[in-house]
Amino acid sequence: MSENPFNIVNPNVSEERVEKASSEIPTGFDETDTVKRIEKIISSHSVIVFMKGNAFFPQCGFSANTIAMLGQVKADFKTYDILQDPELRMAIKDYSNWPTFPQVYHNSKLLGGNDILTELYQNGELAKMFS
Amino acid sequence: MIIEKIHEILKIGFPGDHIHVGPMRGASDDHLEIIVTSKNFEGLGLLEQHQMVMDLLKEEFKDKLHAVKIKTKVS
Repeated sequence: MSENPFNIVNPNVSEERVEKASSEIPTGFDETDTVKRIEKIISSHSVIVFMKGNAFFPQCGFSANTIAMLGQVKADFKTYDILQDPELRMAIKDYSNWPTFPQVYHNSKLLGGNDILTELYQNGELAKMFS
Repeated sequence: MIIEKIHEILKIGFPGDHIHVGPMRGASDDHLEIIVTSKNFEGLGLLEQHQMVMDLLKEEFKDKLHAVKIKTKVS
């Protein structure tokens, strides 16, 4: 476990569960103004993960780890692939004052990135949030 | 060297506080591990604590820095 730089919780988390829990929001959505688009995406889903890739093919260890944790606590989440949307990728860093991905939003508020999710997972708060 | 540079920036941002900057085990050079222990974190949520650290590294994130693992502690 300690050899794994991302502390991946359980990379073998049931794919079926992740599949049930998550689905990707189509990039672009239907809003041309990027900030409005961000707000619209965030406000229309209780848990949304802006990440590199998607739940099945995460393109980064941090994103993979975050998805695995959300899957484990059975959160009902959606993902948004920022690699497919360079404009939003740039804009959301300023929007949230958060320069990295993944970014997890819960009830329209930034919950944090992988490090914060990991802390919340380890101290049991993440599970409480979605129980 | 990016590690020294980031350590220097954080030392200025958190004067007198304990700061660790090192490579993240098993990852490439642009992945760093940062630990900051500061009394300035008192009363702040994790999100704000991490934002305080990352705000100082804004320019680095635009350039060489790809990813960091941040741990903040209240001293």
